[in-house]
Amino acid sequence: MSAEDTSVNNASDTTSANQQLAALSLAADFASGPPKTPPVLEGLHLRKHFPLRQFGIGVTSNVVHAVEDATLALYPGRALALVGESGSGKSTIARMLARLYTLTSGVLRFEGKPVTNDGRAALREYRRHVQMIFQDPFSSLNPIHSVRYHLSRPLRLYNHAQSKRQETDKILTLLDRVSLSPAEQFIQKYPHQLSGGQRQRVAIAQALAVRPKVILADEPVSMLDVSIRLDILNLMSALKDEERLAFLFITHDIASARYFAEETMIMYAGQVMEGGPSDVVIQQPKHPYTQLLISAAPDPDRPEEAPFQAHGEIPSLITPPTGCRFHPRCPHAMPVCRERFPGRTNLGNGHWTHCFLYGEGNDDTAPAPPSASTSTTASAGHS
Amino acid sequence: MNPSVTASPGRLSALWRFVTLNRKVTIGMVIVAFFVLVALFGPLLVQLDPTAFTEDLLQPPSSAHWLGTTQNGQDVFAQLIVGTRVSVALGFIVGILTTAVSVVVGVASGYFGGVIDEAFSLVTNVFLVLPTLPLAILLAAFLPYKGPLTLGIVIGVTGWSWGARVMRSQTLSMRGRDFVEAAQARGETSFRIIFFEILPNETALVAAELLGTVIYCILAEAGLEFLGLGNFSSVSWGTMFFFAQNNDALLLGAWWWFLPPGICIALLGAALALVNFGIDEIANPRLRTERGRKPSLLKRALGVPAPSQQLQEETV
Amino acid sequence: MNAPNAPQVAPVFSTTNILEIRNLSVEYASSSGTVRALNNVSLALGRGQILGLAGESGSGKTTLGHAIARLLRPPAAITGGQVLYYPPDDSHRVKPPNAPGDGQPIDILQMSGKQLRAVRWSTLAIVFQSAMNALNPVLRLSSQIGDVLKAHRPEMAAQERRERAQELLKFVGISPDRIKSYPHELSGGMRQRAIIAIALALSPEIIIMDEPTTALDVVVQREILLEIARLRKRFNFSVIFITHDLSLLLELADKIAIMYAGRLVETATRAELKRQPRHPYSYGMLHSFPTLHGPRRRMTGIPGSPPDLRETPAGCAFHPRCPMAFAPCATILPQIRSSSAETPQQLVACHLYDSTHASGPLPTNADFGARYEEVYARSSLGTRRAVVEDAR
Repeated sequence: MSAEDTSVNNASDTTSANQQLAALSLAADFASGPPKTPPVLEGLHLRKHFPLRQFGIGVTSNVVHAVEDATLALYPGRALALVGESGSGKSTIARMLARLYTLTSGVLRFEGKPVTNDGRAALREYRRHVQMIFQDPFSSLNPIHSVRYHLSRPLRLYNHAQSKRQETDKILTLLDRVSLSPAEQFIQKYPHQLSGGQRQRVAIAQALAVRPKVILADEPVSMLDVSIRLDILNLMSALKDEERLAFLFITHDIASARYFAEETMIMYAGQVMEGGPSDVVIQQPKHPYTQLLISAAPDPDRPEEAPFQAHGEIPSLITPPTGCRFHPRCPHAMPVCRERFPGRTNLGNGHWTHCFLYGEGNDDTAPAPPSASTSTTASAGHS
Repeated sequence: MNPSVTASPGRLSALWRFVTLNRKVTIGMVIVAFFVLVALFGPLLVQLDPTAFTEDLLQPPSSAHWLGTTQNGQDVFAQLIVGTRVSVALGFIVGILTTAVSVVVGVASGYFGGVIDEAFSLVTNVFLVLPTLPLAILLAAFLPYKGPLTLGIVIGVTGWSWGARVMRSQTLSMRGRDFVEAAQARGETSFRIIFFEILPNETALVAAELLGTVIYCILAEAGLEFLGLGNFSSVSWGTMFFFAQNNDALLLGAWWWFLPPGICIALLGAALALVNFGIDEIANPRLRTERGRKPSLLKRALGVPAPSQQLQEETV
Repeated sequence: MNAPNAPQVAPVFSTTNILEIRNLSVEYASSSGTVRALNNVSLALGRGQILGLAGESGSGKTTLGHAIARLLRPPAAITGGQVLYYPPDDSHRVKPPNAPGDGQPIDILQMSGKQLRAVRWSTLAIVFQSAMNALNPVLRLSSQIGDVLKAHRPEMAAQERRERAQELLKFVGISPDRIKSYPHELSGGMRQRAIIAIALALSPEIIIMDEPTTALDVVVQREILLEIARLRKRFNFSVIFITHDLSLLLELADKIAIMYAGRLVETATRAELKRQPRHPYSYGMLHSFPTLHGPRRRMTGIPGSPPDLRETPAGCAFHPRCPMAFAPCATILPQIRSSSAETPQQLVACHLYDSTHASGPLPTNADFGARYEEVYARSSLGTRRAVVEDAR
């Protein structure tokens, strides 16, 4: 998808939007070098405001500023972790990418082409390729339907099975792929007969049923027992590699982001703070919020009396702080931080941040390209 | 391929399990079934004419007239059997239709939200506020045509709003559940989500509402007819009361005239209430007084795990 | 380190304990028979100590917390054991009525209603899992704290109560001007602090905390944990900290007890556990948390999933998932015992440390690691990963 194509399409009245798109893709191509593989799903300058319904005379309606200007890209066979606490906007972004929420502003691009609102058929096609896994395995499966029903729905919706027999075969294969064996036993079970881990596997199987290109996983292991979390993460990792899936991994646990995802993005109160290759972001955190997050995360190897300083709380999103929303809690806050939100500062190696400590932020906000090494989760024995 | 893999639990066996699961439900359903059978086949088997005048005026029960006779010599037993058909039919039909309206309005309100919700809620609220029985009496009194149809309309019009409210709340809460979001993310249509994902989960609620509405319909119908707002030429439990009252049956000590229909109404009402309690118990394990067996559709719908597992999840 | 010399007897309790749980068992009746939520659990809590209780679902940790405080409701019932409380000698502490004098313990499970009321909150306080919902939404904080003080210290005057409430809020880091707030006006973290303040109202000696920080954000969680550690240092109360997050305990607790399927499987100090976990489950749990630093390696976790308490496996409940399982594990229940002569206080319930079943050197971290990896490599997921990584 090159700049020329978009300018040709410019002939119609949606000129400004297309020009903006063209500018962005040009910037992407020129500023950071050709990516190894083009992204399969991008969100550019996503913004989401939820209006609050309020009644009364002379009351202006309030708005929840859930996401402000987030830009991200998902590449085949790679995972991007979105790390943040409550109110960070990470779940909202996932739902925007899944088109469960409309965008207040910003653009979605699927396989290079902008996603427009043209009708049910296009939405179905999009949904086929962008699937979601939810956090709570106990409520993401409908309790009255069997595993067979859950897995047959996507197959039927997208006509992936020509006969009942073929459907059954596909379902059994899917169950095997998520290690629910013997598959014949599981196919007729109901959700309440399965454990949390098993339900989550069914949810994963359901998401994979029609061979999507993108999986959006919203805290997929937070509600599971500790000893099975790794199993599920390893399963998702294997599927990511086998199917060349683009993964969005949402979590509040920065350590699991490091384990699962090649890239990590840190969010706070709806704003993007820092991002880059997972290990770089975690070992050399630049943004004060990232540093706070890492020092707060449980770390058995941390020396006993390591200092921990934190003040304040996550702000309200209805009346958020101006400028950088972290500034009331930031030990390094400067007057400019209150005035406006900094642009992106590239720190090299695909690592970037939005912080006045490191620069004015005039670097482009194109999605970061994949890092040079494609194999970042090494097998046992390497380091 | 093993054929047993593809078999799913039959609907009939699920229904059977539900009926036999809880003692209250069993007793209730047996009684209801009895009345339904009488309503369907009773008049065919009992070859007496309930409106025939005989010479045995106001006779207590005897071998000739099992439940005695009325002031005009009509056989009470015959009247009871024939009347069952009218009362039960009206009760169930109006009950089902009213519940259907409640469900449609409530679920549409809850699922779609926005303008549809606002409009439907407005209508629901207006009807909620209207006093039911006085309105029913007024309507029945002033409508030109007197008969079961009028009664049916009157009862239906005044009885649907409460159910709609309840369904709306339940649907609203269902809508926020993850599996509904998951269904949307999967690409299911709204129709599919409402009828195949949300409504089956609300089976217990709909069943309970249906039963409650049927009880209300039967009682309201009997009540309105007793007040003289029904069609006198038809025979039903309510008209039996009306005539018994008009002919001073109580004063004359003719207990066989008004007691049988009263017992029938009470019995049917109680049976429906028992089934309702049974459903409640299945829904809410804390109300349970007996051990349950394998979970049925209702239990699945209500997400009720086996009691010990639930405790395990709560306490451990 | 060789097994044969390891002592085989039950652990010895020292007199610096404030609470001793001996052979506690809890069962509850269900439609499929009785389920044993707790099976013969024995633990000791030292004075001023933080005892961490770690386990997953079905481990019995929450049941244990409830049982100690006698908060279990039917169909759950305590079917055996004692919870011995050793009242302190300092005279200014309120002792439960009819308490035997001079260091003799009282069994909380046998206490009368009057004794229990005296003990509750002034000696033993609890912070629950859904503590944020434990606050009455229509009462201000001042009333909630005031209620506790009124109930247990009726002799306190209103002014004294007010001052104490403000003092408590200061202890937990809430600014005293929030005393008039309603719970919904407070953030999640502050509500949790308020609950801790209420728990501290009567200066208890023991506080049971059941997953107090699970529902909180990471940063707030860290703040609350630090607060708890600070308060403990200041007031010297003992804590039983129940959680599924073992990594938290490794930073906070003095002693850690790991439970599985209603039984205790290991007890160790923080240092001992970090250095060398004895039970294969402990090792598995420790290595189920992705690390922040150090090499990025594939981690294996523990295969299988925690058992359903209605159908616990025979013998050792962990054996179906255990990479070290051998002959006696499927049939004989391991008893808790000292793990080795070098670490006599590190207790473990595992046949590997029982000289009648196993001989030879005790397993090390490397042994555990190797066996877990072996099992993983043979699993379906492991073979798939090998294929993918070969293809790279």
